[in-house]
Amino acid sequence: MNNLGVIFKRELGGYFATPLAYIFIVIFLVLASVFTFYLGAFYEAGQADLNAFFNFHPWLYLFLIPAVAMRLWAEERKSGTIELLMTLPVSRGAMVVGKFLAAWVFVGIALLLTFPMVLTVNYLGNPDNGAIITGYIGSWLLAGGYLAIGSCMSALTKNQVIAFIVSVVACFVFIVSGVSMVQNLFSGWAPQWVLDTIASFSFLIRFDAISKGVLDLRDLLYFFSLMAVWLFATAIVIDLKKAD
Amino acid sequence: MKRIMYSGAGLLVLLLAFFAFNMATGVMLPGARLDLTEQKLYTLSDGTREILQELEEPIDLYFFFSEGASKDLVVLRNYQRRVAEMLKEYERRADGMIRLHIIDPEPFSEAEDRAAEFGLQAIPLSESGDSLYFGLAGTNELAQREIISFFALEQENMLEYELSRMISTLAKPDKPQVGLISGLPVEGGMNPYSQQPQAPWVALEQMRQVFDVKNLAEDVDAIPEDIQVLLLIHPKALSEAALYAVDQFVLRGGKLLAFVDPFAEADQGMEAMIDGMADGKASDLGPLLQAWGVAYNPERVVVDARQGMAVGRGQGQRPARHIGWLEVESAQINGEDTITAPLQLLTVATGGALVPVEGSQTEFTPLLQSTADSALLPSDAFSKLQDPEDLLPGFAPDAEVYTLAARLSGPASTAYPDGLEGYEAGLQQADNINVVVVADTDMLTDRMWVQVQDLFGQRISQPWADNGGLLVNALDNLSGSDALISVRSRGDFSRPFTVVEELQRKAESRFRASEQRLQERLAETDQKLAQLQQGQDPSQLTELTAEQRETIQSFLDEKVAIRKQLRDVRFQLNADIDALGTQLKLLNTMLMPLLLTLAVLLWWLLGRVRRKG
Repeated sequence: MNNLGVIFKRELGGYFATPLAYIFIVIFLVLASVFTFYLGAFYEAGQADLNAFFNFHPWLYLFLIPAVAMRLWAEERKSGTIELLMTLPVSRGAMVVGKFLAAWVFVGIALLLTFPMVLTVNYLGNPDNGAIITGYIGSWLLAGGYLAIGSCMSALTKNQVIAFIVSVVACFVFIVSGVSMVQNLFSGWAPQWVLDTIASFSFLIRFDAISKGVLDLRDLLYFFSLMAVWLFATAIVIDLKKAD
Repeated sequence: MKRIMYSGAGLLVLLLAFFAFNMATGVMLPGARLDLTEQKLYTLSDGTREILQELEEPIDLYFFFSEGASKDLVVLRNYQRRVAEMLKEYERRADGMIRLHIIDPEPFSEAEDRAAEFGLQAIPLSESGDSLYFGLAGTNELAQREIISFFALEQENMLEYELSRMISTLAKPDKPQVGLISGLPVEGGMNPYSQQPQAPWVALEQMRQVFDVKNLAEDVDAIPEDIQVLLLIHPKALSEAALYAVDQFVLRGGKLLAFVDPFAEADQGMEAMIDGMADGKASDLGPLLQAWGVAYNPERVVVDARQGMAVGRGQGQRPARHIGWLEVESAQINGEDTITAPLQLLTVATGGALVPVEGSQTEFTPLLQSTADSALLPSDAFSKLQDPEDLLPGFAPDAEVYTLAARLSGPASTAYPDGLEGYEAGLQQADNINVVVVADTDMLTDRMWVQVQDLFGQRISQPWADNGGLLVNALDNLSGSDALISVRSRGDFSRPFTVVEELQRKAESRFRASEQRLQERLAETDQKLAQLQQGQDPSQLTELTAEQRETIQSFLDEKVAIRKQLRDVRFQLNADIDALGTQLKLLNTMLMPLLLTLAVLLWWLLGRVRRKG
């Protein structure tokens, strides 16, 4: 476990050593705010809640999180440092989890820096701050889900761009499984329980449920199991690709 | 084993395990949730739990939801899931006294016939031509039934109350008994002016459809035991004995709905007619309100510049603004109380103010309020009022918000601590009373909320305000058990920007004055122009003197200028609000990125300096 801490610290420090991380945060903050105020018409709607803010997170993350995740393993593989890593007396699991946690905390910091939105909505009216807190928890869990998928995709290839694109596609599948367009594809022939199961794997539906203000154990388990599975898959892929 | 796990097969196993795990948790872990919303939107309230625990005979609930027709309606399916889960929670908490049947009424199936037979409403879906059922029917051992014909998304905040009410009604199958004492001609009768027969008030007719109404005399000296809710409308002639009877009725747990009025315009009683005085039309509850912690002055009427209604003055005439007749809109209607939460617009005509008495133990919950642009006027200002706009000059709001209707609950003492002579000593105190007081009676008259048409001998009523709904909701709520009354409507879904509203209020009061001035000037100019042109034969317009032409032109110019100023004033009204919006947009979009950039630059500079040093 100690090793995990070392990897986590090294990776997290690594984020702040490059200007790229700041650029990521700035882009995230600006886009989140622009989406909320302009596309979401937050001010014009006149309602003291952060729905207009959180509604765009799944779509914002769809491009930003794969950008963070793409370098997790692809860079190590390309620069050859992965071999060096493998020689360290650190278990593969600790490496995978350590890198993931560092990225997740980094995204969490970016998310926390959106706090002026919370101040704004509290200044304008009397929002349900309980729902806002679960909105943040949900958003962070969502980011974790995207990151875990991105981590696995990054382990698959040496090319960061490919890792990015494949991650976006994979995450997109998880987003749209609850959208009526996709449900339509199945509704003609699949039984209802299949449709409901597909919808229940949708990021959108799970995130929506949490950001309403309720932390349902099932939703939490969904996100945690999703992260665990994709991280496990990352470890398997690294092992399989060891020889490449 | 390890080798298998770290292989392609391992990935497949993992994927399957993930799906299996989440499908299993979906089935096996319902309801394990932490509700962090402020109003505990997703948790059953104590009142509901009490109702469920007190069930003595089983109740069957048939929940109809068209699975097939709703396939693509994700939002509706989510709401359906919430309703279904809430119903399952009811079933779980009722210890076998609720039997829940979830039914999918497929087209042309027996289940569909059943849904239609229950009277559930099918919503036609344009895309597929299917119709969608999303409703609930409940039956008790006596085969009585109650339905919620369709779960509308907009009613989400009333969901728990509606379900609990249904169960509570089925558990107590008799129609609730309402006792009525009225000082107004609510049952119709003869019009003293025209000597024409009058129909009963629509609000009262609607009430009779749901409740068993028993008329009581104004000098009643005991409220019968079987009365659950006592309804008082304009109780101005109640005898002392009747007041004492009401006091004792309320203390022993009876529910009271009282409409009192400082100036009941519908009061055609002899006293009101002969006197022609304002206080001839006033009603009060003697010492009772004071005992329940409410101060009410039957000689003062609430006037409100912002909620004032436009009333017609006759054909061809501009409607007048009547600041004593109020249109109370949702912002001034309590959205958390089950009585008022579903209501959008209520009208009040020359109503009074209810003020909580400081230090009283009884809880005072305002249901309808005036805005801060209101004041109290003596009611005799209305008795000789010819033109409602006569109230406008000299009107000065006192910045108080007045309560026009309130719910009184919690502990209370008797208004007759020494009892009443000739009657045996009664209750002194109660832990919980249930009283709703409305300080207006005119709101129940047809002309204040409903249009009634006679169509081939049938009376068709088209409401334009929710006044009738207030009466039925209040009786409905009060006739339920204490537990049901405590199930409040939850989910204050509307959380307006209070800061913006305040800005709007300020801007409006600032600009109303100048707008009025400009409007007056415009009317004056129009009038002068009309006068000037009236004397002229149109064919001789060309023969106007240069001076006349100049005058007309200058008036026309002035008209254009005033119109422009008016437009500017209206535009200005939103300028402050727009400015705040722009500031917030900029602040949120730019502030943090700028601070971050600065911090990074500073860090970099410091690093350089340190390295050089």
